[in-house]
Amino acid sequence: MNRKTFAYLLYSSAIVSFVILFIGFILAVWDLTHPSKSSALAAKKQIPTPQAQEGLFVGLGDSLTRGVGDSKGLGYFGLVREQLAKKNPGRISAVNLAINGQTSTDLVKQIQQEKVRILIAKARWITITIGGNDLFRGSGGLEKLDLKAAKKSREIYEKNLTTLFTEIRKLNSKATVFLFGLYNPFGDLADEKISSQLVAEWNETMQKVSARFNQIVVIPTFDLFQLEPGKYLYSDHFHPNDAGYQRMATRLLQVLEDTEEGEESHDQ
Amino acid sequence: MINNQDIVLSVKGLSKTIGKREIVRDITFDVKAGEIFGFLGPNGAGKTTTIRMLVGLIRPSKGSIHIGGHDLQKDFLNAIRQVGCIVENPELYPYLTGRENLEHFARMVPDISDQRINEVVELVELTERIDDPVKTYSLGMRQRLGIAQALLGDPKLLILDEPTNGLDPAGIRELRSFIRHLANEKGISVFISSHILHEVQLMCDRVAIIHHGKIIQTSSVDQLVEQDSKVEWILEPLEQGIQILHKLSYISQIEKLDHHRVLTRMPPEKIAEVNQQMIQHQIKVTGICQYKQTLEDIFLKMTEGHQIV
Amino acid sequence: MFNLVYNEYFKLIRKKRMFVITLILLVLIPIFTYAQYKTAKNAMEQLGTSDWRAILQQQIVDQQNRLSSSRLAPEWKERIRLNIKQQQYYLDHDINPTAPGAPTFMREFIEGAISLFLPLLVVVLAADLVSSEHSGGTIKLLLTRPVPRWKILLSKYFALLLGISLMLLITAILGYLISGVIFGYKGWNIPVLTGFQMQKEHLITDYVHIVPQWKYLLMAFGLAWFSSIAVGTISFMASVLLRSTASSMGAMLAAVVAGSLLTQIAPNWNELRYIAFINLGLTDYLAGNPILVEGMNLPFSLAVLSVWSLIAIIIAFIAFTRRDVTT
Repeated sequence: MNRKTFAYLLYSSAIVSFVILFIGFILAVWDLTHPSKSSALAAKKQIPTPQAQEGLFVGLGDSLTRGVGDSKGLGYFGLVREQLAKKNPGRISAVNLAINGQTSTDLVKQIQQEKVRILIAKARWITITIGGNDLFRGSGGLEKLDLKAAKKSREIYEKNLTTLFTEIRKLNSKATVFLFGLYNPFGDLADEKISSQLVAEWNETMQKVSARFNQIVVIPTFDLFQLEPGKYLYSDHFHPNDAGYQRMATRLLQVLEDTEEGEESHDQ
Repeated sequence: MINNQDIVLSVKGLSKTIGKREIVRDITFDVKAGEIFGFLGPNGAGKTTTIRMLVGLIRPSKGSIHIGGHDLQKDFLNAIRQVGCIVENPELYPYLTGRENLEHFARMVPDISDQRINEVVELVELTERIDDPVKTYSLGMRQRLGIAQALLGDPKLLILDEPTNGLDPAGIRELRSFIRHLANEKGISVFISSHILHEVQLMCDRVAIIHHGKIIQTSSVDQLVEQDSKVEWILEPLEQGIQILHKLSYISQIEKLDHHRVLTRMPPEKIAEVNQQMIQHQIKVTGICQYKQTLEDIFLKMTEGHQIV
Repeated sequence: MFNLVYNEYFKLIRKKRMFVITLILLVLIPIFTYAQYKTAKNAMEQLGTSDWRAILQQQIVDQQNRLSSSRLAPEWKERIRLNIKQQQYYLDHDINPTAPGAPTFMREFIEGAISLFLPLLVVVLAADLVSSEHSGGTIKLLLTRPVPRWKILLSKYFALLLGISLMLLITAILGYLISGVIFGYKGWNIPVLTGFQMQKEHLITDYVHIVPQWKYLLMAFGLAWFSSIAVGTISFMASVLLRSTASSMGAMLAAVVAGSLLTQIAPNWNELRYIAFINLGLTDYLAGNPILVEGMNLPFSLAVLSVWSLIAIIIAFIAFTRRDVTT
């Protein structure tokens, strides 16, 4: 192309883009400074029908499902996800909706969110860790255990757990739900007796509530951390460490295998 | 006010003060139509500052500049329209071709046709290389392109600042005849600054000499060179010789250098006459040496003259 | 005047500056394209799903978890909280904020480039516009024409405006063509949400509405154009005041970078908002991104940029028309 024609071409395209950009600028300013409240958005709230998804693995609950304390950040959830993906390549998807520090009350709120509900509805497996924060915060902390307060928060916990399972079952009747039991991170402290007893009571509550629903499995963890907490707990002396999570994952995988076999035999 | 048609550039009482320093002091001169006017002075005398004021790059502190009858400060556009100039080096856009440079400057003046561009290109003999980028040009070619852009608007006055800087002797000769041609054939007035007396002698009709920001003399070039020059004599015996020299009225200065040599200031055409006088008085003349006049000599003489007055 | 503007524009193009800018874009856009592709792929691999809803939900939860970290500065927490609310809004209305496609890439690119990358390119373009005439000595030829000085400067300024427009055009075209190779060339009509408003930690969604992506892009580029012009105008002044290209470009680059650093370092320092370079990210208002410094909104930012530009242009004109040319 001729140098002069090229220059004229660039000149005219610059003028054209100048005009277009100016219009864009005016549009933007107008759009942002003259907001109309009549939003058509409200009508647009439609829930897409959940599609049957092959092997959706959903994590709910607190920092244990999140994986706090694991040096790789995987936690039992990540470990199990990896194993599942290895066994069924390309067919497993996993969403971890757990939030650090979540209590059962928070979790009940969370599952009111529309997208969370959609994911629960699609799930094939749901794994939950919940209650640790209720117990150790609601009972006056680890220094002075307030048995009265602990009892009260256990009652709330029982109610929340019932709501949670009712909701889940309403959304998804088929998915297997795994609820990890609590362990006592203070097994090597002075009030070991009292704290262990509290944990046992809460685990009992879990069992009691779960029994009222189908396909809900409580996976005990009390035994895993009781004798040698130092070996399986993270430096915060509360969350599991790599080895601790590995133990939890192994347990969950064992039970998972059962459900798969069960389903397969059921199909036959 | 002189509004003579013949005067293209008229400068009156021009001064420039920067801070406390007076760089140019009360300069006054006129340049006539078709004349080549030399502006002579050593480096740092205020030449460049004056030229920048002439083309409107620097605002004068005092005084006025009229070009073709238009006041440069009050009527800049009409005044500058008459001027073509190169201030210091011919700096053009190196990334454009010669022709693009000329087209660029042509667009800044109304009514310059492509034909006019070709005309000036031919005039400075750059036709072959005009479509090459300027960064490939030699200094001489850049100088010529600079002159071409100066001539583009058909100026009445051409202002050139040290135009021979960096040119080889052949280039200087070429430039000299080109400038003569412009003045004689096209009637363009040319204002040339220089620090080399010899150059000004060869090129100019009239000359103004500037020193320490002041014009110390404005005269025709002939006047300038016709004046006394330095002549050295080797005489024996020296004392008698000096006595004879003192008797001659046209010798303005006598200075004994050593046992044999004496330096005089005198009109060069009288050398033969002095020589004759010496022989008449039986004084041996073993050597006569005439010094070419330099700018320094002129300054020396001028300042001496001022002291006398 | 048309001739004069053409002259200056012609020099701008022939100086190879635009060419260098195009080259920079040619190198950077593929890198950004690949980076985005990589992030998207990573998220998909992590979750094992390509459903954007699941990915977005995961992002929300991940951010909620970041919130619980005690090491986070409170202003960042606020920012994350607003971000979560916005993402939740997208999710609730079933609109994918990052639907793949070249137009989406362009949108994200311009939003990311508006406060630092584009200003840097503009500085490269503008900072030597006048000073190069000084250092090249051509200013003496330019100012000894029968054209008043203000007209010469004005034509240079117009040429700069055209140059900035061309630069954005090149950015848009290259962004579209290059990213389209990976993301595909569709997506001009995907719905995008705009009109989010912030009041302290509350996200106000009353005025949120849907615009088609092409219109959103037009608006985003329009805002980028405005902030580029503001940077260009201030650089233009620098190029008049500082006569060497190196110093004018250096000063402007330092100013732009310092401005973008300051917002990160000291978001609590409220007086910062009167500095022009803090207000360059105009697309943040369009996208509803959390604004760190309190008291900033679109009219405010536009006013700050306009006032700075106006002062810069006045100083430039006064200096250029009054000053003696001694170099």
